[in-house]
Amino acid sequence: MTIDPRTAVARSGARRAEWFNDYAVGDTVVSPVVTIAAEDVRSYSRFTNDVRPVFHSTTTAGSAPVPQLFLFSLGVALLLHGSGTYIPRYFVAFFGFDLIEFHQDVRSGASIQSIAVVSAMAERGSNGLITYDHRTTLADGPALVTSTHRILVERRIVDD
Amino acid sequence: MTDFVSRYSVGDQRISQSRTVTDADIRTWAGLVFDFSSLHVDAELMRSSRFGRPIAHGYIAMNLSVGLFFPEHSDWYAPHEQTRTTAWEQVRFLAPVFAQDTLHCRRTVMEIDPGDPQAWVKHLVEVINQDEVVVMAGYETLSLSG
Repeated sequence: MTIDPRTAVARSGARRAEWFNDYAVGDTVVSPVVTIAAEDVRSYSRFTNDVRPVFHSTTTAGSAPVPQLFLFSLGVALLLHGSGTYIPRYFVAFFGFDLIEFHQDVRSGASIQSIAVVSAMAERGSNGLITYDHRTTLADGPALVTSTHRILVERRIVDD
Repeated sequence: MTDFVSRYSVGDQRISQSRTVTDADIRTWAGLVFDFSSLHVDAELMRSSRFGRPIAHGYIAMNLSVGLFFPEHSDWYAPHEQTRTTAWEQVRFLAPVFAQDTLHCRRTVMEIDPGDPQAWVKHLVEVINQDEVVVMAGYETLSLSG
């Protein structure tokens, strides 16, 4: 797996969100571009024991189908390396995925990128729920997998 | 396609084999997806957290919910090579997973649609630890159209 250095994010000096209060609807996190190698697929297959032969069948060009959950998991994790703050300092818990939809399969050799947009925010006691609409796409556009998910983050309590 | 649909009935249930999650698994997963968050890999920092130690990535449980069915239930989970997931819904990480926890997965058929050309089956997926605590749950919809 290789990260395209042109899309890597330089964080020094960038403001990082720490609390729920630091977010606003519309905030966007854009990941770097990553190219998935056939060896990544084989490593994933060995790790999970999802040993379906299709994941070991390579074309003459050496590409193999990328397991859907690997594509999804990698796509979301790439947001940790994106512009903006996907998971802030005062993160409490991952609330879960309300919906994950797979739109298109890819083979190794594909370059992917993820984007997450804050679509809703709700206070919840001393915490707040942030809803992300996420999509992982081929670097040149088409959506491969999308999700709606929520994280729980502490609220900064400001004295009156 | 009908042949694949006929393999399922609502209420069918399969229990996977078990697997103990190790520190090596957590680090391997971190490397697979570039997620070396302190929550998962920093034992010193996590010692003073409410968990007392690093917790495994929730995605490990989610991804094992598929792999644990191989090879014993492979024909049931994925009856042909074109079997693919169309969606997951209401995925919840209900309890933390730690190194040395032993997980298995229970899948229950909740809905079947023999529709042509898009036949599908929906599973309730529950990943369960050694204390019978459900650590992850959700619904996976699989296309049976070959």
